[in-house]
Amino acid sequence: MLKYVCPSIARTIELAPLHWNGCMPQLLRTFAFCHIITFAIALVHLPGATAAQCLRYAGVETGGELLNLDPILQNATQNSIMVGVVFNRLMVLDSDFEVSPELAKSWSSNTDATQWTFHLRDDVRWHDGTLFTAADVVYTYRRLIDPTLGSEAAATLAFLNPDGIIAVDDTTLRFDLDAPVSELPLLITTKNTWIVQNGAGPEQLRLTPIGTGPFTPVDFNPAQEPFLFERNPDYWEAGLPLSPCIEFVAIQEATTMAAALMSGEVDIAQQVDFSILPALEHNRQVELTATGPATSVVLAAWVDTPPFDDVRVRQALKKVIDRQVMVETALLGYGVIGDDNPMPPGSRYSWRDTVPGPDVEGAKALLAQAGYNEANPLAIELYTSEYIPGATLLAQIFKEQAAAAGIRVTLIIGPASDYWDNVWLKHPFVGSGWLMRSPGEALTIAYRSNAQAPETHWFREDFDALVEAAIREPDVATRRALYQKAARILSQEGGAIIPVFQQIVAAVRSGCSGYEPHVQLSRADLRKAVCD
Amino acid sequence: MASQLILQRLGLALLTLLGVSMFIFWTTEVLPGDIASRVLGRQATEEAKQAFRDELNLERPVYERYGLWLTDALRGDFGKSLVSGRPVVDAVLPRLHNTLILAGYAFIIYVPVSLLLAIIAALYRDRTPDIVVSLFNLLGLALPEFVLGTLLIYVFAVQYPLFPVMSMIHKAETLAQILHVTTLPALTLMTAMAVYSIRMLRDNLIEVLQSDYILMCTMKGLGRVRIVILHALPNAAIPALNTMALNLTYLIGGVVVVEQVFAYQGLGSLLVESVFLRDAPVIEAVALLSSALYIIANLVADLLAIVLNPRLRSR
Repeated sequence: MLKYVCPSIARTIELAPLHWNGCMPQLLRTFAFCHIITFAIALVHLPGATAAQCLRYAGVETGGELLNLDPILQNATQNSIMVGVVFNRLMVLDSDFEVSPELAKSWSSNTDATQWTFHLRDDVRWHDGTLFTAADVVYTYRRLIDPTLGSEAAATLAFLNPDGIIAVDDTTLRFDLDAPVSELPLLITTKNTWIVQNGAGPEQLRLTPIGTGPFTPVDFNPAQEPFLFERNPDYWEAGLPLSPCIEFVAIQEATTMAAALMSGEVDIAQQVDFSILPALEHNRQVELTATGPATSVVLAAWVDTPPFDDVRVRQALKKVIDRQVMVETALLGYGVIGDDNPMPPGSRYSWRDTVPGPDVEGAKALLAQAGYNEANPLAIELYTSEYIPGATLLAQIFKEQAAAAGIRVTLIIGPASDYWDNVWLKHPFVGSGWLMRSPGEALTIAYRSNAQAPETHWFREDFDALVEAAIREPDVATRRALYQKAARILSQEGGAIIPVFQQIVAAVRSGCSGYEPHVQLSRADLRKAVCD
Repeated sequence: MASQLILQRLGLALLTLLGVSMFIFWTTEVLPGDIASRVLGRQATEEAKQAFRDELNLERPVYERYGLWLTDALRGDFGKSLVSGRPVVDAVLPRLHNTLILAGYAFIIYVPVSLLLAIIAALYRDRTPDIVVSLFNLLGLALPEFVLGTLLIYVFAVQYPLFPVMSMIHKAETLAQILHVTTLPALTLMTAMAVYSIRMLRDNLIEVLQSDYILMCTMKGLGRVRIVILHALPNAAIPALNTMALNLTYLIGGVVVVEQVFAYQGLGSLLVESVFLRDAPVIEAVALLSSALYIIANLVADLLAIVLNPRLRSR
């Protein structure tokens, strides 16, 4: 402000550090005066010009000591974003879960999908100048499934056999599988599958990794934000990245995020909280961009435990919900209706395009058949927490809507910090939520009998067989029909109530371009993001 | 004797610290939640989680691990973070440095501001200056820090962008830059602390100003300012000293909310992060450090009280 009002002070600002040094010898005699001068300079001294060209990217989750740049250890989304600018994957996964080439130029499989061959780029160099080869990829995938490293991806990549990952030559890679996997390109592009250099150890990868990606870490110390990454001048994609450097920060407080966007201290906010959306919607300095359906909000009931073991009870609970009201009130319109299965209605694998509206009378009739009436109302306890923004509000709306059909829902709301450890999977009716996944992964992770997170106790062999057949099916159309059938069964009989999907709303400051949020919060493409 | 009194206070302080260290160790033991699934993620396999737990030596008895931890801590070795494997000192020291900068700045402006406002309020008791000070005081008491911080951000960072919203202390190099990024959080902290001591100091001053020896000073013909500063203030300040010491400790440990609002990388935010991650060695180090500072600040207040109070001194 003052800078523009009074040019003479503006000149003093540029000399600010010098000025202070000049003051030092007289410190004792004129401490107060010196202090005031320095303070006045500090008041108008705006951050230096070097920072302005850097892209400033704000995440929402501070990780502290959890932060590192090793691809196999990413438990904070902030981590994934930073890892993502240092490395490349074999393929890129877009928001529709379609894969396209990155380090792999092309790929093909034999007819029964037990052998996959990938042709790699031959013009990619690591940040240290060495050439990228198939040996790096072999090392990466063996590392990902190594049980001793605690890799998060070990479970999803369990179909890989360390001896079946073969470098045929420098640019050809082959996966020999024990069983057919028709969606392999999709499955080996999960969160952790960034390609690391052959032989790279955890010590190096955590803090000073060497990647093939568009940026290199310059200042990365988990204890000190912001983290600075500079452009890789020899990046293999011509003309990219556009921004000379990126500064990563994390802002947990929603109002602080809004203020930082408005005052221009942050260029891109990974996700903005629903509470500040109204303030940002009317701000001309900030543009909001939303993804498609991104995160499901789930009310998970155990189908083997009363009263949820009666399918009519589950159907009644699904029928009473006014999903549109939930989207408009709790999500302020930034969401889409769910259909009680992991595939959003109208998407490629959904079994129907629209979900019928609330049917309180229908729900009451179902409850009456199940033996519940006004004298003997259905009373259930729902355990929940603010594990994702808006979750408790949605639970409260559910409670009110269920009351219309005479269902008494008692909400038990606990702290979010230990929710996934101590509440989720421990009670018969709990709140949950999932990031958007490909159908194969989404159905496997929570609904197959051997699921890691059987949150609805949906142990059904016919359903397992259906999903298994879909995953193995090489023909795209047949596979789609099988997934749709599985989705339909979940919608009609399953224990998961999925009333809404949240959208991810990112904020981009005016003057910045080239950024689109991904439906998976852990992915962000910053190659083309740039600010004036 | 004063020296005996001081030694006694020192001994008590050390005993307290030992007790606190035991309590800290025990409470981090009983924290709910599974560190393995926190570090390795919801999708980690059970074998991987078990391997991780085995590595932590959790099967040794608590008192044995406490002994080891305490002897290492005395040597300045707080172990390694369970989450990152880095030495705890590497995680704590930069944050401590940041917190001390912020706390120091806040304290430097806090002492003169609260003294000045309390003296003004006492001197002009029940007149306009007193009413104005009291009004702001009550406002400060009623407003939680996060509201005040957000308000300051809105006015001085968004409407009139004089200061940054985020206090990125790591990027600040010169003193001017450091003051620039820490002024808003320091003002917030200063206000949160000053409201208590202004009220207390004002009431004490008014009480002292009505006592006989002040009347004596006045009759001797001493100036009003001289009476207040040299004669009334030392007596009125003794009870307020403890408030100041307590406030100092509030600065070290209790700034969590303010750090959160200004995205400041201090000890408070580190504590929150590590509790969230169940990172016991970091929690223990931060808690022990904060308690040590707390105890030291109280000790200093006690000693200052001894120095300022002739009756305690001569005993």
